[in-house]
Amino acid sequence: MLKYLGTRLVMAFVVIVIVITFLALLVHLIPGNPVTTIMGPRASPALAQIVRHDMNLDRPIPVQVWDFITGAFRGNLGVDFVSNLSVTSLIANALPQTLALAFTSLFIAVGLGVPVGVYAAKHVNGAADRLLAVVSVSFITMPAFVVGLLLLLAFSVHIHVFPAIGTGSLSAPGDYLRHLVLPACALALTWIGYIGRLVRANMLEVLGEPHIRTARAHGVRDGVVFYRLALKNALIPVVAVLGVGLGSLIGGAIFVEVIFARPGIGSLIYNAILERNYPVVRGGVLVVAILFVFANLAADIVYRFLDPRVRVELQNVKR
Amino acid sequence: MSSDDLSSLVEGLTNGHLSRRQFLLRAAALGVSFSTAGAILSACGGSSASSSSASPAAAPATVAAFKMRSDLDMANVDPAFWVSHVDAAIGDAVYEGLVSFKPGTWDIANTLADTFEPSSDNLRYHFTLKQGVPYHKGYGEITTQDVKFSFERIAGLSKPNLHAVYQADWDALESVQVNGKYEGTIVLKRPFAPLMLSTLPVMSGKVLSQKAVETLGKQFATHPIGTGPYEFASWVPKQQVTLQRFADYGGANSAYAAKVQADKILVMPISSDTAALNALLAGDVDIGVVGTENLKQVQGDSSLSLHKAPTQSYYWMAMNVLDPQLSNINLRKAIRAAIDVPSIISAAYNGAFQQAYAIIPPSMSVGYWPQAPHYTQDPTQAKSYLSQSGLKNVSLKLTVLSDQVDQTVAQVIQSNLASIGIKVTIEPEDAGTFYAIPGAGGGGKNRQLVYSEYSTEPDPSWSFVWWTSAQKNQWNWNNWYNTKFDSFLSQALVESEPAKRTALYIQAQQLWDAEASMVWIAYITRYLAGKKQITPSIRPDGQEIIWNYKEA
Repeated sequence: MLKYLGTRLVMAFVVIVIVITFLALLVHLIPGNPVTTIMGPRASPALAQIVRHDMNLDRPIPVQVWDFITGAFRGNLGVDFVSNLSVTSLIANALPQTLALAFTSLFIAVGLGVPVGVYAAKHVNGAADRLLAVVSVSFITMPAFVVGLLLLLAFSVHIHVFPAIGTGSLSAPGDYLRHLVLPACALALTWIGYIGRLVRANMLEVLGEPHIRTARAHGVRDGVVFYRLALKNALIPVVAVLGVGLGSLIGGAIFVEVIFARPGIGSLIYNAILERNYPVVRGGVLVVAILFVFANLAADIVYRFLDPRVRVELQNVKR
Repeated sequence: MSSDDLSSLVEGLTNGHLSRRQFLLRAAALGVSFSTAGAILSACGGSSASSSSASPAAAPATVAAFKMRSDLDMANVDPAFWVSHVDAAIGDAVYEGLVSFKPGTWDIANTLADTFEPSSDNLRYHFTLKQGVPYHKGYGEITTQDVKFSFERIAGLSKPNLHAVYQADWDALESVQVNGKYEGTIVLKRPFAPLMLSTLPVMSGKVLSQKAVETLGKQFATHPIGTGPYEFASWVPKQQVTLQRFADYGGANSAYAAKVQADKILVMPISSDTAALNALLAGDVDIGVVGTENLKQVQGDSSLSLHKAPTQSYYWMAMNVLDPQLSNINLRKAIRAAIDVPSIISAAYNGAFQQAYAIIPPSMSVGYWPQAPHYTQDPTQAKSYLSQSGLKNVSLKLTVLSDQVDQTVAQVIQSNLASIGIKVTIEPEDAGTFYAIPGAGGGGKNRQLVYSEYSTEPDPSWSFVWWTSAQKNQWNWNNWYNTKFDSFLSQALVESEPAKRTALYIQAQQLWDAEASMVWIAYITRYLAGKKQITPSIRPDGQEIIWNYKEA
């Protein structure tokens, strides 16, 4: 297990370096430069040249990227061109908000999606199953920003139950959670539908397995068959999907963040790209890449832990 | 003179955007007799103060906080480097200058200056400071040394050179002489007419604490220290800027402004207009800018009121006269005659902006050209020009920003030009690419038609500066360079008499208009929506004076 973990960590590191190098170079391919974009038309050519030098923008692009990578290893992600704040502090401000949103959404998605899938599997081909199928597919196809707007109109504007914008303060956890409800639900809806369908399909597959038939033949109660034998196996692929889902939520929360005026890593990177604010782009992409890679790594490890067949396969491959 | 021009003047007078003197000057320019103008003044009860500048004697009840929506986050509040109108609004609440515009007007009033006297040649400005005016957070009282430091650092006279973005605002500065602890003289190398419009009363004229700037260093940009009625309390990026009432405020503006009402101002950046409107309707913000697409909804809500804030920023379409096709003036005239500007304003801006006929809007105190030609869509005339050009199968690219509104404008223009046989391909670009100047890898010199907007300071020199020969391969996207045009502008820069300056600017506009290289679209109006009991305070160019907001 340790050897496996070590190998995966090395691979994760290589992937991260490749990704950030590629993306950090990519932003330089787009026309434009931060001096004119950020300083505006008032910057005279002479001033722009001086500022370019101060920002190290007159150095070759590969040198800029190399400086960034080596700086990142020392914990220095650079400085925001506009405000002179450290990129680390900007990310430290934005990332927790996105993580809170993503994890809460995932929690809601799993908390509702799994029971929906189990219920549908228990009542397969019945009226409830068909209804849940329609509802789940509808959820999957509904964009998060549309859901967000509808929730906002209903529960903030008309009924005044939840706040419309902002994050609240962590010093008041209740208020912070109140600010999280609507955006998290907006993001979670698609995943509720997706996880529900996934769990249903996996449950039906597992319920058809010989060991389930054997257990039933031996008189094991339905509840035990469903929840202890079948569900445990049916959830294994869901875990793998959740790893990808977390990464997708971190990057894809930007639309919901804009609607609810929440700060987040997605909008931080997006605005930095528009401004050609290279340090913020590089720092933000690095952090997202790390999170994505490690989320998938965690999912793989959990998957390996949960599914003994994977451990046995790997051992057979080594022999 | 048209009835629209006179209506616009009267509206400016009644809204307080024009003083009595400005009204009389403009009326004379329009050909209105003195007696008629006087009668209008009497009927309107025109005063030099707007209704939004409160009586100095009033002491309104306090409000805990004003929650304001801003469309952008604070970026850099250093007067040498400020980025957007949000930075300027925050700066205006935190800093003060020797002189300021009275809220809602172009009238100048002494603020930090006790006396302020220009010399007859406008090269020396002698001032004495009000004594005992404290800076925030214990940085002592303001002295002449602070004035010298503040202006000379922007001018590039300090060591090391700051290379300030707004260095041109103080380009004419020779030095600030310190004659005493509270007495000094601003000495110019040459007359500089914009000094009293776009330098001293606005951000470039704010007086900073030398001690605070030197102590805080780069942090000063996001932790400003001033003498204003509000002091900077905190900033959570992308979430909120908190300004706290300054308990020891020195009262520099007490002669023309009431005491501030709110204990706190919370500036909340909300980039989406839709989210902002929802926040307003939900009660999460008290007041803020709304998009033109939301105006009907605001007007239909009985708990909200809508306030117009006309700016001096302008939308334009430029034709690159260096392009082989567009170098033909008849083609340019054909394009100008084919475009239906009211349709653009209606389609893209819900009819909420004022149509522009020239670069300078009526609200600019100097340089407005009331007789600017009002070109209307005339397809027959357009086809005639096209025929005279001798060009066949004309195909052009129209470069615009990639946002939805600009794309709508582009589609209207595309349709208008298609009706006279000119094929237009729309090229949307994101902001970083669009504003890239040729010297930085941008495509400015390769563009043909470009649609965009430029903002400005409250002086026409800043409207014109981007269209001079000095802006070749920079921001002059119609690539029209004319030495006579440049000469008019240079002369206007050193001419202190407003009527003469206006005459020079009008001559420049006439010359430019004859080239038919521009289609003026609209002057931007910002709309503020807020709770009915809140009255915003707005400068005549649309800049929000957030420290002067009042709640009934």
